[in-house]
Amino acid sequence: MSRGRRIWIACLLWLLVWPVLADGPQVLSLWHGYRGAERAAFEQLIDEYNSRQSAVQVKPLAVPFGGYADKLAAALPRGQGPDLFVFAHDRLGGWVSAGHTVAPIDKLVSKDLLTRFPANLLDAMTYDGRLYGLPFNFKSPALIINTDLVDRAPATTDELVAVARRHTERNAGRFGLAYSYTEPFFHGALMNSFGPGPFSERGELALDSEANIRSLEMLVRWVRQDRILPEEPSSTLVTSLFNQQRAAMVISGPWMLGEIAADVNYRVVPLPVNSESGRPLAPWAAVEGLFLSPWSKQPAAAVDLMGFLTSRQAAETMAVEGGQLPANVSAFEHPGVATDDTAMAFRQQLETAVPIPNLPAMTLVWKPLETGLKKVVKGAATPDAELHQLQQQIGADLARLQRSRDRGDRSVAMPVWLWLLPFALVIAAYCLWRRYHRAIAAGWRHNRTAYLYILPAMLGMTLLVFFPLAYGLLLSFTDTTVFNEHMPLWSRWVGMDNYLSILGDFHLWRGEGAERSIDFDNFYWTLLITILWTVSNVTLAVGLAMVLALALDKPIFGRGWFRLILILPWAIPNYITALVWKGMFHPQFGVINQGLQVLGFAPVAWFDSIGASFFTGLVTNVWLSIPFMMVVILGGLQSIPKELYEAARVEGAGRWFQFRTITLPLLKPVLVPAVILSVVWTFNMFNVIYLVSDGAPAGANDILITKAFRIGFEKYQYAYAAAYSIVILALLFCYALWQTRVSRSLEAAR
Amino acid sequence: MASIEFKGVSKRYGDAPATVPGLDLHIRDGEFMVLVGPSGCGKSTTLRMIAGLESISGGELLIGGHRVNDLPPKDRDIAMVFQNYALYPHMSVFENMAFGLRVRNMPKLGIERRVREAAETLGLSDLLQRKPGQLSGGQCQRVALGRAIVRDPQVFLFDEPLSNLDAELRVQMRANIGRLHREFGTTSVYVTHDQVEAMTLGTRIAILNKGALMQVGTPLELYNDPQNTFVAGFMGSPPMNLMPVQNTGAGLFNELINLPHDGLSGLGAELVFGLRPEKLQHAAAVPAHWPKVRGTIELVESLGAELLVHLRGGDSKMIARLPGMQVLTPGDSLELAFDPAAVYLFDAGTSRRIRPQAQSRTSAERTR
Repeated sequence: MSRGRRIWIACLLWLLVWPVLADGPQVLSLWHGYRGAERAAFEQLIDEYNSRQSAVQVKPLAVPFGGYADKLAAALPRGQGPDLFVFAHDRLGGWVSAGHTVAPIDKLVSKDLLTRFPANLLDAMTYDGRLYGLPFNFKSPALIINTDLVDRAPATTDELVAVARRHTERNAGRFGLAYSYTEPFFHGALMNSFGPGPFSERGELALDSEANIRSLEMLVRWVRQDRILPEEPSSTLVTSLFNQQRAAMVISGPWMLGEIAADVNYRVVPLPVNSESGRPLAPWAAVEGLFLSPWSKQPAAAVDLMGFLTSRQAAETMAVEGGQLPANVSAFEHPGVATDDTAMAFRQQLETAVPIPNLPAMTLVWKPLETGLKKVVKGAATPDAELHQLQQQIGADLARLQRSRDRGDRSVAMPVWLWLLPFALVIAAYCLWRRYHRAIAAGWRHNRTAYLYILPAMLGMTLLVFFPLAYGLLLSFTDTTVFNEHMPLWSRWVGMDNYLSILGDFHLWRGEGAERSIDFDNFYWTLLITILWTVSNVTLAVGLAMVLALALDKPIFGRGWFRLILILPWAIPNYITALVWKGMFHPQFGVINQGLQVLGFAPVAWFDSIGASFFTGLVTNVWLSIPFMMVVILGGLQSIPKELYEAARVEGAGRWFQFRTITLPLLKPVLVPAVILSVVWTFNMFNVIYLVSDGAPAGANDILITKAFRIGFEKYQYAYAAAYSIVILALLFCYALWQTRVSRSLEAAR
Repeated sequence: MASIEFKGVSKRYGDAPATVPGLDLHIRDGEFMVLVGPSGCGKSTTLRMIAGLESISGGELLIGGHRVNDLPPKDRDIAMVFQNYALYPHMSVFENMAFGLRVRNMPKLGIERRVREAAETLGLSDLLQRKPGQLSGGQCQRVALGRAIVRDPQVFLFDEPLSNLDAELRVQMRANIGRLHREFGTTSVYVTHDQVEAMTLGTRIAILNKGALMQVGTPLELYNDPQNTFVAGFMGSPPMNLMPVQNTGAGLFNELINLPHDGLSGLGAELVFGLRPEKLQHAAAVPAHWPKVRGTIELVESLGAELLVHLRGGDSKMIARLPGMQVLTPGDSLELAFDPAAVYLFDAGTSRRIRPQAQSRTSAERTR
């Protein structure tokens, strides 16, 4: 037999044998977002599972937490995700509604196995009556007390308030109780102690229920009457107060423990009982669960793995080495865990904890409820009025999303005329080619190298600028939301509806009679604020920069140092600057109010009124804009020949006359483009508004770009946000055109 | 009265040596005084001190009899024409010229009349609406002139106004400026490094070197009667021949000349001998007793109407200006003669002019 033939036969045999040989262990891919000790413990469990049996090989993948949710959302519906994954439970409802993301496991798991979990944790993993995975661990807030200040855990809220009042001295910045009370996550504890929370028993939105109103009234009492809580709370503030021993008690969760200073003696205790309702404060628990992908080819093996990972031994490993609070509560009997008071305290809290509602509508509640809480605790609205208004607003948003979902549910056949589109494009391309191919070929031959040089940049631009722009434009003509984004594009088509509802939104007022207030979500209100914002910023920045540039143009002493210092604001990332200014404007602990008090003035509630809040953003942005403007104007000043000033001096012109007749006109060619740039950048200055005032109060200070962000990423109405962005683009484009025309005509008139 | 008087005026920048150590100069009313000298001699600084654009470190400056040391430029009633014109690029010619009047809040009609008059004088009437960017160099300079005239000040100051123009234009503008001075009669101070401008325009010329005043006088005084080697060598083109000569007591000699001379006792062993190039002529054409110069022709420069012949004798060199219609070849030897009365003598150490009591013997014989 010839050598070639032998090779042929060998290959053929190998091909036949391969399927048999390749029937090795099945591979299960598992995604998680753990780092550090948790990750080490988790992967130790995986290794143990792999070594125990040879039928299944588990391959874990640690996904960086920042992009984890997006990666899941992108991969799973396309069938490219893992077999199973670890994630927080509260997105379950959204996933089930969207479809193709998770699969129920009721049929794959035994009832016996489920007894190892407490009922409330299993509820977290259940939606619409079906179980979608096994709970892995839980976290919930509890009461953390400074044992040097408070010796006994309060049993009721009345006791809590009494103890807190004893430890509160507002002038010294000491508080009896501190927690991030405007975050709905924490307020859930109160809501759940009065009633079923934001949703009724039947799963319908019920924010304005009697129970919820009472919970809010209780909070308002704590803030405004008992005055035991600090203003403008945030988790950073809470941690910092506790570490400085200026907060006797805080409400927070296991995530805070790592940040408590070594010299603070503390104890974790369950939250007290609500004196008004007689039921214990029931904080929301965030449950991490193991979910099954509907695309997995080995669902039984996956569920088996889930069972192993939630077994008692595994739970003990995760508790002792991973520092977690395992869902399999039998692990708490392990001596390593039972002696940990903190862990046992959280275990005790679990008895009364309620999982965060996993309904899809919950995602729409967080932000508006937070805004509402902020308003109410400042006294800008009453609890029942605000909750009624929220109920209506979120209800409307829900209805809108539901509509978009229904639209997505209906399977619409691709319209015939859509087929004409590619056909028309091909014909157009052909006509253009016929007409221009000679010129194009000549141009190519002549400038081949030049085109090749710009090719990488053009590719980058196309990918990063043109494509997203075109896609955004396309999206703006649809009704795409988080629920229907996987439906084909034409089924979501609504034409100009989005634009009509943006530009035709004349409902400036909302509420009736004495409770009438401006609807800050209104497009025209936001446009007004944006224009005011832009005009005031650019005027102030240009004016102050002009003064500084004129001062630095002369060889004064230390000029070099001044120039360096004045450039620094530009060098610092404006994200950091915004956060620093936000801290400085804090009504209680910020240095500005402290300074005002030292000078004998009353402190200003910066984020409570529209004007003051606008001012905070204005100051920050002007501070950020001055360096750029100053550098530009300095450059322009230095290009004016000094002789002109000498000639003017000899002719008798004073400083102001020289400025008006020589400096300003000769600065114009430099100022005009700088002003255009500044206008565009300020118009779209997201960072300052979002980070400093966050649109406070209640979204009144949002500019168009932050509004678009909220619509897209807090309300999940992607297409509406896209339309909003296109409107912003159109406005700025018209401005740029007008500005160039005006300055050109001014030039011509001279 | 718009005379200008410098009394010991000095200018110093920081700790550096003084740019102008101490100037004493009197400029008469209505005079056209030219400040001339090599680069860095302090002439522009002096001018700017008159304008008020530079502060005065010491001494007194008086304009029209008033002390103006601390007076700002706008109160001195002066107009200045700059080297680079300093026209406002964003204003039309009319507006440029009207600027100074606008500053003084003159009524519009008055401004209009004055500007048009000045434009007429300088031939700018058709250009009034143009911007400086649309004008040629000469037109720009005329506008700068017009801007100065319009103000009708008591002093005009010119800071090398013609340096940026080409040769032909320079000739025209010189004529313009001269004409304007004759017409208006305003005291003018003119700074230049070009001695042709100095000679043609100035009523008097002040020569400056390293901030010090070398000599001041009318053009002819400076030309014919220089008081030091600097002035002698500065005025005249080509410059006066200056060479060291040995003093034997009875005469002066070096490699090129041998000149019997009286009155040399008491003077140093080495002196500086000066003779203008045009004073050298062919030996054949002059009286026989005139002293001779013998040397080798090194270079012949033909200017058409005349020749510049460079003569060399050993290490000594001279330049002679001879009529143009002759053929001279470099390398040939040449004999020239000069009038002994046209000789200048300078002290080798102080560079000052020496005027010996007796004339040179040969000419003394002649007058006898």
